[in-house]
Amino acid sequence: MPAESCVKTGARRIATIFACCIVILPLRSLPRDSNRLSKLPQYVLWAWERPEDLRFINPQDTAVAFLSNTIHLRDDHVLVRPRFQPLLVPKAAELIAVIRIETEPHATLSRRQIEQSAAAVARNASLPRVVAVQIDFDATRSQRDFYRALLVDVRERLGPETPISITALASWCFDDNWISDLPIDEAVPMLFRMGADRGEILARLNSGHDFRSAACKGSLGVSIDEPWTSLPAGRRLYVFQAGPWTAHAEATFVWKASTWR
Amino acid sequence: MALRPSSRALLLLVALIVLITPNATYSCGPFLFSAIFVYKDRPDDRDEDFAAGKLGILRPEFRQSYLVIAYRYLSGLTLDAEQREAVGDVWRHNVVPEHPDLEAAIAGWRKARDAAPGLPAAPEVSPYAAVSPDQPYFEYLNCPGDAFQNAARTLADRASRFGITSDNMREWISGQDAVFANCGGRAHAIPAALDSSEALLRVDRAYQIAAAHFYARDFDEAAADFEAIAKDRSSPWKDAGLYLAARALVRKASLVSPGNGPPFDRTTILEAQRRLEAIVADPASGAYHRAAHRLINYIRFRTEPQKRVAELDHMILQPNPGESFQQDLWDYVVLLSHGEQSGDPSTWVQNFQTAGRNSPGVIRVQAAKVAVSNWRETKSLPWLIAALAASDAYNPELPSLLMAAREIPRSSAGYLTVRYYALRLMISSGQSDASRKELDTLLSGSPSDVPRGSRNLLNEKRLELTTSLNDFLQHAPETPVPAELDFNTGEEVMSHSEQTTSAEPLFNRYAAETLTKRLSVTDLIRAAESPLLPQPLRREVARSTWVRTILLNDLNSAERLQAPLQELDPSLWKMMQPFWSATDVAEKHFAALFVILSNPGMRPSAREGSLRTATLGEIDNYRDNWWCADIGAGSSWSQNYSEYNQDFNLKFVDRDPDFLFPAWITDTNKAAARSEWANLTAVGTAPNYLVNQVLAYAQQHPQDPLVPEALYLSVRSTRFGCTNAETSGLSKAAYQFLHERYPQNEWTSKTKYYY
Repeated sequence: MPAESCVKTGARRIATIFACCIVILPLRSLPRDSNRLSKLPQYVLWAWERPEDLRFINPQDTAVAFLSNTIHLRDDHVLVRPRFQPLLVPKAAELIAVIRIETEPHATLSRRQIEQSAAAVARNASLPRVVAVQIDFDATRSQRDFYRALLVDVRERLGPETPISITALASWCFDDNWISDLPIDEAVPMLFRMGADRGEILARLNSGHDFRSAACKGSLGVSIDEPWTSLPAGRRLYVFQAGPWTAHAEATFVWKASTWR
Repeated sequence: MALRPSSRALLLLVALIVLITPNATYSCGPFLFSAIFVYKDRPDDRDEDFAAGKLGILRPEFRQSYLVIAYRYLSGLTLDAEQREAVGDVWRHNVVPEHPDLEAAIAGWRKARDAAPGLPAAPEVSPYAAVSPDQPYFEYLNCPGDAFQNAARTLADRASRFGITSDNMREWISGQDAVFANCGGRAHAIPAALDSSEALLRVDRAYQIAAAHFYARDFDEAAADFEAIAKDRSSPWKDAGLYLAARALVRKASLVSPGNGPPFDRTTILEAQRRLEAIVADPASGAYHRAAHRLINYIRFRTEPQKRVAELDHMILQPNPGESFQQDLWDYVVLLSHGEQSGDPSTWVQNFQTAGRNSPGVIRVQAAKVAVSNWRETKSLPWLIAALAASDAYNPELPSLLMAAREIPRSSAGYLTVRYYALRLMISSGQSDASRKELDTLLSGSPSDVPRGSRNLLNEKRLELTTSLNDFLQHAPETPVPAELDFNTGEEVMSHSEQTTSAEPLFNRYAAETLTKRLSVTDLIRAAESPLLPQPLRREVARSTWVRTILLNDLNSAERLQAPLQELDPSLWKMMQPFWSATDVAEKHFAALFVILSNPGMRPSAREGSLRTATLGEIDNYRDNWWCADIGAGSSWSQNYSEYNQDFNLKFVDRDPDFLFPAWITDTNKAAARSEWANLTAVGTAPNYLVNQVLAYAQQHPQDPLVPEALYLSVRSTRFGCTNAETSGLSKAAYQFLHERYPQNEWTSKTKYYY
């Protein structure tokens, strides 16, 4: 049963939450998290390619996943575009380098492209304070073999210690378990801007269903401007903000985070 | 200290609460794809059309990059195909160079270099370098494609002189390898000076050393080296020397750590500017004049923004705005966004935006004065538009402004804009008949003449002038513009996806508010019966009016909706059979409550914008279920559920009680509408009303077999509907009544919790 309550104050609220907890306790297993990722803060702000000043975050509970490279696969070429915008973070902040992969219609997805892309991804792991890499690739069905081979290559280059995260369509996590044997530490279900699938996916979460793939059970990708209701609690949140992070966005994030857990 | 048992229990309770929080305990705040009738900050037509001069109705909220192009067209100038393409790139923010040829340039260099035998493998080259040691994540293009192309060309030339297999060439190539090893910004590999009998190779090496310093970020050394090259008459690089020395200083001044002081080193950049101006003044440096100009503009954008914007004001008014149009336009809009203004175009943009924006009244009045004054002085079309947009009906210049507006020909790029603002003034100064007639003419124009957003703007004016219910119903539906939110920027953009584009007419805010707050049940029933509304909207009106009659205890009017509902929603009509057939008033009311409880899409007001996404009988995941305390007339539904607006349902305050009645509504119907609206706003949020009503009936008719299910549905409504501080108590009361009176009933076992 989804625990959703609109009771707001006082003992009634506590009693209701307590009642909800008792009901939920046997139904919700604690999500598994990769050991390699277990020390990562519970909140991760996505910093996309724009000037970002995130010096306001508390590194104890918030990390930053920043768009570091965009890899364009064009014909048989691999074009690596670095980040052209500043990123300011506290000195103690942990960072995840995000590498977005974009394919063009005639990309060959060859062995050469796998190797060059994997090398480019792996290079990001050596950047200061980067504790993990995250690949953002909306692979179509026909690109899955390429993606799988790429991830295997990246894992070989990084060794067992560096966590690999990927962003995942909600459908990959629910129905289409093709990601179950990928050499990754987590797949972040992207639960925003879901378009036509939104209603169905939220209804499934709302009715107590969890993701099928274990890799999807450790974290969630959410947006600051969409509701976090219906979302399973106790997971690491990757938070997207359309536009640069600002004090107002931070306030919204802090407020939502405080009410979500 | 030992804890008492009660303290332990409390601690256990707190620990459980902390450890296992429910999914969500706050009221929901949905992100919705709502219908947009007019874009907020972009034109009504496609960018390509706007760039070609189809401006639609210009609005002060437009981004400045659109307004400067509008100004150009309003001034009688145009853009050719290449310029339109450049403008499109600026609008799409595609002004960061993508370096599409970079990889090919690097590959070309490697191929040329590998043709020499006996060399070690070519080192990997990364053309990008970090801006500063503390910004390893922020890079810039250190070695552009033309550096590799130049190297390959030079290699080919030197190979033709010395032979590709010669020791001289091996030395030359190893020097160049060292140069490019610095591109990643880390290697700091400076080739040694060359002791060769070949003068050309010696001066080439000097150039390689200077370039290596440049890429290794030893900018002072690089500048000195390039200056020395400029003085060396034997060097083929002599002509480039001074320019490259200045470029080294520009780069030195620009590569500063962000967030730690000014964005550039002013002293150094001014020194670079001085050197570049000297190059431009020297006829002997003609080959580098254009490149030097570009760098000067780059510098002056930062050091002399006001002078630069004056130049760009001049540029935008040139029939040929120049070869660097795209970069100039980008600089221009960035400077405008910083508030810079100088000449007429930039002054017009800032004025037009200030006069129309939600700026303080004094500022707006001042902007209006400036606009009228400038129009009187220039008689130009841009200033006529600014004056019309900024003026109100009391402006003493109104007659002359309207007269000037009439003289704008239909073929003018500003025609629709002029007519829109003129009509606005005509309406507010009481010229209703003339305005209505002209609006009807404009609205009868083809879609290619009047884009959808402009049409909706004109229609909104027309809605203020309706003469009858039928006239209102003809203009109430509007078709939304195709819009969606850009994933990355959050900006409203034109959608090219059919999935996000509703081409079905919907009610805009004015129409929905009029239907909700200003029409009596009598008029609403006539609307439900009228074929003038598209069927989905007519059904919406029929359903909502029926709910309204129930909340108002007006069962006679509810009966009058039987025919429209049978026609428009046969399944709902069938579900209502117990209501249609009941003869006892209490039973009839209960039957109506049952229908409403069973259909979370039922509410007493027509919807503004998009219709509910869930079906009538489905619970909406974002709690768009039944109605909130405002009966649909307050802020938008999504705002009702804003996380910052949790107390919205405690008490409804009509935001706009003075919202005008359409002129055609009779006094009798006005009075009825006022009275009905007052009674409706006293109903409050749906779950509270429904629980109270069902409990009252259940206490009087406990034997009614539908009561347990109605109680179950009532409790469900307190979970999924709009709630307030009273809801939980009511939810509990319905729950307890159900469990105490009907312990064995199937609906009781389904009601496990209250909310």
